[in-house]
Amino acid sequence: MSRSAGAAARVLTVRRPLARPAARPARLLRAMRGWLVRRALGLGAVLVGLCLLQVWLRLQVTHVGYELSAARDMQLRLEHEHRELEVELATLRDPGRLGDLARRRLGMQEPGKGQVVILR
Amino acid sequence: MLAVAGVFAGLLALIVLRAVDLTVLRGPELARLAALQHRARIELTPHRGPIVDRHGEALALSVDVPSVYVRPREFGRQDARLAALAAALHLPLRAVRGKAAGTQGFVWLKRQVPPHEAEAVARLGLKGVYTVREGRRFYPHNGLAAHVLGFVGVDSQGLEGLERRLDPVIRGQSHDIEADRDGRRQVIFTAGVPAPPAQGSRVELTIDAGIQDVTERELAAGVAAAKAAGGAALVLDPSTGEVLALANVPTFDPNQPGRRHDRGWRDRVRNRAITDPYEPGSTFKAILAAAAIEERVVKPTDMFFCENGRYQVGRWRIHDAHRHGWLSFAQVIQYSSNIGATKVAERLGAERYYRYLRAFGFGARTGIELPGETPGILRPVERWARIDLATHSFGQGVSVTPLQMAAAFAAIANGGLLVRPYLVRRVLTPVVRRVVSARTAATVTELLRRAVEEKGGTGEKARLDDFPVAGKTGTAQKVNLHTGTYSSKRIGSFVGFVPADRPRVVILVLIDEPGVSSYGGVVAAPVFRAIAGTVLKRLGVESPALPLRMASAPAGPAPRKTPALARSARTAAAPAEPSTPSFLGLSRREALTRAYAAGWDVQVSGVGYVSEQSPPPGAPLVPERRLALRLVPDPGTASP
Repeated sequence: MSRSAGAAARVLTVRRPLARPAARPARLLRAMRGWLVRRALGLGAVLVGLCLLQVWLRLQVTHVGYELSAARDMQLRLEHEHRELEVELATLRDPGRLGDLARRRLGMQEPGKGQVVILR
Repeated sequence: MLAVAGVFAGLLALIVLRAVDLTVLRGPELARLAALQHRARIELTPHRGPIVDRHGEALALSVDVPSVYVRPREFGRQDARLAALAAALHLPLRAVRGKAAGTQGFVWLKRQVPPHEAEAVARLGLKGVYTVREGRRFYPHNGLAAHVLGFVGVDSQGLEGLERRLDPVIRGQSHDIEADRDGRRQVIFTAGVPAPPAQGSRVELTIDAGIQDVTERELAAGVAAAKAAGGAALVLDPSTGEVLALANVPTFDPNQPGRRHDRGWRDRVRNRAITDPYEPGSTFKAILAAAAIEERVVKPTDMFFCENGRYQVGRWRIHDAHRHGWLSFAQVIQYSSNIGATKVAERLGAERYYRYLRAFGFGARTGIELPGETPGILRPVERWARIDLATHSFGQGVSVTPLQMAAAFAAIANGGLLVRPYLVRRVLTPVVRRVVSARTAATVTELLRRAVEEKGGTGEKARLDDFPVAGKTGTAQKVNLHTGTYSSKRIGSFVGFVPADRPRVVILVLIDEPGVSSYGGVVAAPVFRAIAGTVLKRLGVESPALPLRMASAPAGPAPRKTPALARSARTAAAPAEPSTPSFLGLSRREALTRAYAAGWDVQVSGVGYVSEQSPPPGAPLVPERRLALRLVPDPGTASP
């Protein structure tokens, strides 16, 4: 018995009621509204932020797209120039043209007998 | 308050409904319409792959050039500017007016225009007139190897030669990509850079541009000198079958190939080296010799009576150009006796001879990568008349292409293996079959060498000073295509290889309808000589007798001699044994000639004249003769 009496003596007492007294519902409502508004504003700000991020990203993508487009144009221009230079080089290296130049301008002629020494 | 809230709620509901309508109900359709405005489909067109020679020298390339087109609906009524447009494009006003006045959405005004014309059009700033870049084939060496390369049409499609045969490989594959486009129709690659289209393959040929140039030049000179209608020449590597040069006269410029109905167009564009069968004449005796020696029905020393120039075969009579009595078989080849060849063929027999002709590749295409190759004409032996064996022995009554003939000579040159001639470099086994033994090939080579090297041989004019030549002349009548009988026109040819002891090239020269002399030994052999001399130098083939000859008497222009040089040269010329001789002050050519003649293994650096040598002059000789020479451009710095 004494043990059960001891246990009863250790029962905790609630110092603050779990629900506020019914006498202050308006305050409770205000508190809940404030919490909701804060959350809503926060969520709204996040959404706006995300939207702005999305717009920024989209702008960045477009900007990079333009840069890629410009880079590709330059690549095509350079490739075109490279091809033209290749043609010019090949034209200048034409064996007939070089032979004519060597004969006419430099007075050269086909090497005669004994004029070619093969390196071993 | 509630009313205001209700209005806002209603408006919000409308907005939501509209959003649902636009995004859900009509979404796909609107998205499609939007895509039409800002999405662009771009065709990525590849360039044709380049064609290069065996050393990588570009023979055909593609470049982008502008083409001008008009959208007649956009062009509208700008008639006052038509004259300026026509002048900018160098077109008749009528033609431009006709194109601009049409109702089509797109009309070419002029394709592949020079850049200055496109710039002139752009300066006019006409509405509805645009330029677009198109790939255009360009042949930087103009007519070089024209018949090998062929040419392309305005849409870059291969029409002749390798451009046609290899079109699927060279052309590449175009593909479409999608990209965004802004209000100014500028393309935005928001989804990354597109992969480039599969470019056309680069084709590497066996042709050597330098040898090709020499061959074309010498052939043109030979044809002009002989006042001939045309000609063909081939240079083949007998060990591999690689075609080093293939030339035809008349020829054309693939940059401006002309049109089919132009006068003489077919003659210029026709690749007669592979499309025109001709009667080979006496060059065919080399094939007869190979067959007869292989079958052991004849030896070079066997004697034949050549009937003093006239020989009756049934009701036909065979003539020789010169009267001959008794000739050895070697002399039959050397003097090119038709009667002697007929008697050899009679010993051999038609069936065996025919078998060898087929084995050498006559009557069948070689399979070279060019369109239009003909197999020639070799009738089946069952259809031979009695005279046919005789005529076939000296190359009449049978038609071959120059390429077949060159390939057959390549088989003799390389020791009896028939090789497949080819133009596009790749890994393959070019040997088709063995046609004669190496011993027979060597014997025939010796016979052909006599035809050139010995006095009285028909090919004397093909002889080179530094290298032994083996070859055979041929002179054949042309068949009149209308009557089917022989005409008075002739074909002179020469086929041979050089150096005869270690053949590096087989060269065939054919002169069609020569005007001065019809003999191959007169019109074709000198062209062979000219081509062979230059080709051997280009290939770096050393004359076997060269070092000794040069050691005893240095040839060529003497080097410039300053007093110091003269001193050095005297030192070098003096007997040097047993110490190291001096090469100081000598030109590179002279120093190398002397060093090689004395058996030195030489390393050279620099250009000009020898300024230093190691071991130094006068140093005792060691068994290992290694010499290092340093050359400087100014001979004054040479120190003895």
